[in-house]
Amino acid sequence: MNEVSDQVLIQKVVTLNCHDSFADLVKRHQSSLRYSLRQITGWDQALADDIAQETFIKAYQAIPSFKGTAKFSSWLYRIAYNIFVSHFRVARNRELTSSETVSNYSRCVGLSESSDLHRDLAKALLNLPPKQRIALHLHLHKQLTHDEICNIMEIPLGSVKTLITRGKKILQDDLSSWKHGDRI
Amino acid sequence: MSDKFDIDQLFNQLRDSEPALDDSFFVNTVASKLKNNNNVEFLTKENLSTLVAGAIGYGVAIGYFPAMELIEFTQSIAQIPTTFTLTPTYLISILGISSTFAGLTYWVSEKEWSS
Repeated sequence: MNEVSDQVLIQKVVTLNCHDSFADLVKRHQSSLRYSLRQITGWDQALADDIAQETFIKAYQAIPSFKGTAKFSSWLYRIAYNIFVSHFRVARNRELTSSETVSNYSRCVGLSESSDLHRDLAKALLNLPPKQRIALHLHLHKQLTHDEICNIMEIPLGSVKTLITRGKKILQDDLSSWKHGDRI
Repeated sequence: MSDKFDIDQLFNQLRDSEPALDDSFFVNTVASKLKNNNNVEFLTKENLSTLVAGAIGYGVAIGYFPAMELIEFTQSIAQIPTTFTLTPTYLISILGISSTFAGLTYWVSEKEWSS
């Protein structure tokens, strides 16, 4: 099937204000973005979908400024990342401390009867600081290059590498029990 | 062999089994929110076209504009003294008028008008 490229759809949205073309872009990218947001929010589906919706609405409003130098998906991730970080800042102001997050994680893991690997890993990722969580997900799951992650997170290359190395080590230690069949 | 958990293998497994999330409800929600945004845009366009129509109307009507009368009016305005002495009586009068006006405004806004 001949699928229209993202760039053509974006052009239609910008020049013709075509809602259908934007809906096609949403259909094309929503699953991947929502999945990523679920991974970094500890599989909080409602929160992940809220952030995803806000991401697409902001993307629609800012689409004339999209230069096309990066992939559209990377641009979306950049918007989503900023929304996620600001959400986390607000949550932290509401005294959602990291210790509380960890205890929530433990409770979830303890109660869960699901063997869903995706959900379990998302909850395990909650043990990491948000930036490490995102960098690790983008690198290991989405297989983005360090440069792409730099662009999304707007941080230097060295910081990205450090986040990934440290995050990987912490996660590896946390999940070592899984090897012995202790997962959930 | 290392006892460490193989993270790369785990993420490979996750990538291979990443679920495709259903789009229908999500896309509809985004579309409805965009429509709400569009309503505001429509109002803005409407306002803009009103302004343009207004400007055209002024352009047509400028020939009938009473310029001379207006000049005479501005001349009469110029005759209003620019300096004046503020006497206690004058001050009390201003305060009285402004208080009355403020009270009247408050009464009108608070009064429940029966149909």
